[in-house]
Amino acid sequence: MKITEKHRKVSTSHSERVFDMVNIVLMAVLVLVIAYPLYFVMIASVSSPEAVNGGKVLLLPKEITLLGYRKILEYAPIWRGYLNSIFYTVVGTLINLVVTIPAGYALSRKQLFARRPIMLLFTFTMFFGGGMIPTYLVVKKLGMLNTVWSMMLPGACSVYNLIVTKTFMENSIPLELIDAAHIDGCNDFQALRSLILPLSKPIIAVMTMYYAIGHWNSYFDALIYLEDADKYPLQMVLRELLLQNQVSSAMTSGGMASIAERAQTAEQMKYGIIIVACIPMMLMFPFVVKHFKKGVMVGSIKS
Amino acid sequence: MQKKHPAPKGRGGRPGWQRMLHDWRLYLMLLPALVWLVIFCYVPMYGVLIAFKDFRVSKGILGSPWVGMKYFKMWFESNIFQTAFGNTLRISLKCLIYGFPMPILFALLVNRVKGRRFRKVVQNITYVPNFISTVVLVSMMSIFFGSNGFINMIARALGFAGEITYANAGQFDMIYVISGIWQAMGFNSIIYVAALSGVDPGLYEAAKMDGASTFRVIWHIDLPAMLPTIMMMLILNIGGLLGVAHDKVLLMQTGTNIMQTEIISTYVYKIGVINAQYSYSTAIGLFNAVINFALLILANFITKKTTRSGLF
Repeated sequence: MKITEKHRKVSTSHSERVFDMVNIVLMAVLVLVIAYPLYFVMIASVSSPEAVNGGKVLLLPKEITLLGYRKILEYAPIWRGYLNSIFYTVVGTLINLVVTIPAGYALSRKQLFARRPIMLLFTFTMFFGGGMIPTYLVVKKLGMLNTVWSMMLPGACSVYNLIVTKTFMENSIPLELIDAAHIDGCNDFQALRSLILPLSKPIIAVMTMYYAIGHWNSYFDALIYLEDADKYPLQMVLRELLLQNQVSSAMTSGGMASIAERAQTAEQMKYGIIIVACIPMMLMFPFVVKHFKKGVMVGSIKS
Repeated sequence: MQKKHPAPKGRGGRPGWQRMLHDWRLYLMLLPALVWLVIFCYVPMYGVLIAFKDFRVSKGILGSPWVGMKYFKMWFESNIFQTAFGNTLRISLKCLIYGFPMPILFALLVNRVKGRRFRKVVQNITYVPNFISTVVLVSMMSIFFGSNGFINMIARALGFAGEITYANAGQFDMIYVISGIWQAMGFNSIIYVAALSGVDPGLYEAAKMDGASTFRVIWHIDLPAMLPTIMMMLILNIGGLLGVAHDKVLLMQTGTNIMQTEIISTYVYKIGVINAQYSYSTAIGLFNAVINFALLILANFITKKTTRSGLF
């Protein structure tokens, strides 16, 4: 080992060193470009709006104030949206897992009669579908418009995730184990519970992440299917507040001196809202990255 | 152990219904997914029929009268057709041309970083934006590209005249594509980095012995190692060419950029969900889906012919 290390050092040519230097600088710039906007939102959310608008907040927060966050805490729709999103994410993900994991196992068993046609039925929908409006009409026909179910059932399964699960189980659960379980008198349910699920922990973690993040971040289903604002998930509330600019009218009423001052507080609150919305994701980030990466690897095996 | 068991399942030979009966538990596990598939994928596919009918909710799909290609004609003759079709194609082509090579390039470069810790940090930071929701991303852009946003402050400081904002029709594409790269590049690179980690280290040693420069190593070792993955991703991307992310575009639409940003799927949403013109919007959606499907088949066919590696 040592010899090769030394050998490598000796043979590192001049051009290679230049490449390495340029590369490291490039990567550093890239990290800056990617991280700075996020960092800026963070420091702007606790700085005084005057300083932010004056362009004085660049590297560190200036004139620290938590007024924006206090206003956010007082604003009920955000927290209602938060609770709704937590509900949709937890229950929706549970439904996703109950649908995806057993089906993935069943499809991974080569003995399953008509396995290929069934797989084809699933795969075909990845490339062709009825589209937005026919799906909307189905949801409408089922009486699910403007109910919490419209947030969870139309997306109860993702064919891509199902195929990833199936592939994982095919590749990482030895057939002999399943056969042995059957010889010991386990039926398929018992085998699933006592053998497959414990062995599938990594893929269950990946699927939980995929689905949960999908639920937490999506707004479009809510836009199409929901009417009542009190059922809105957080992302819909954010859309109204941040993009349709209802912050100033909705949040800063009461006790604020001038209109200009209100507008400024509204600006500061926008940064705070973004941070508040991202907190769950950022808290889970280390865990998420680990499993997401695994998921991409498993997914790439399939082809 | 001492229990004598019939040989583990006669897999061949037996008729299908007997095997299904024997494995009924497996089918039960499959059932929820199948029910979902039928209700939310295949029933809507059947529902596509209303594109050829004058659909009235009260009459149902079967009871509504046939109108043949009326709605397709209406779509091709409407003045929004060219705008929406052109916008969709233009935006997604730009995403493909600028956005597709970036994760590949990034994977190649980050793979060359020698410090393991530094490489890990770089990679993890580039993953972060992927987890930000579309609403938050567009909100951030609406702040940053505002007249007091930091991007415009920097632009002014650099002596750039005028305001940079996606509400400007001429700047929308650039901002859309760059923000897409900002968000997805790191994460999309994972699959390419994985492909690179499979390269036999002996190849690098040999190349070094022969005095190959870094660029030659990238060109002759790294790129070929990634080629199957690149081809696969390319096919998938071309198949989704008309599937521009409508949720992001919809959020970025403003009164001033609408002629540049109305794409097929946002238009379908507006006339279908908001105006309740079900048959017409379904026809447009079907037009979109058919072209996408054809593109996928075509891309797959071409790559199969040229590189002998296809998706199916």
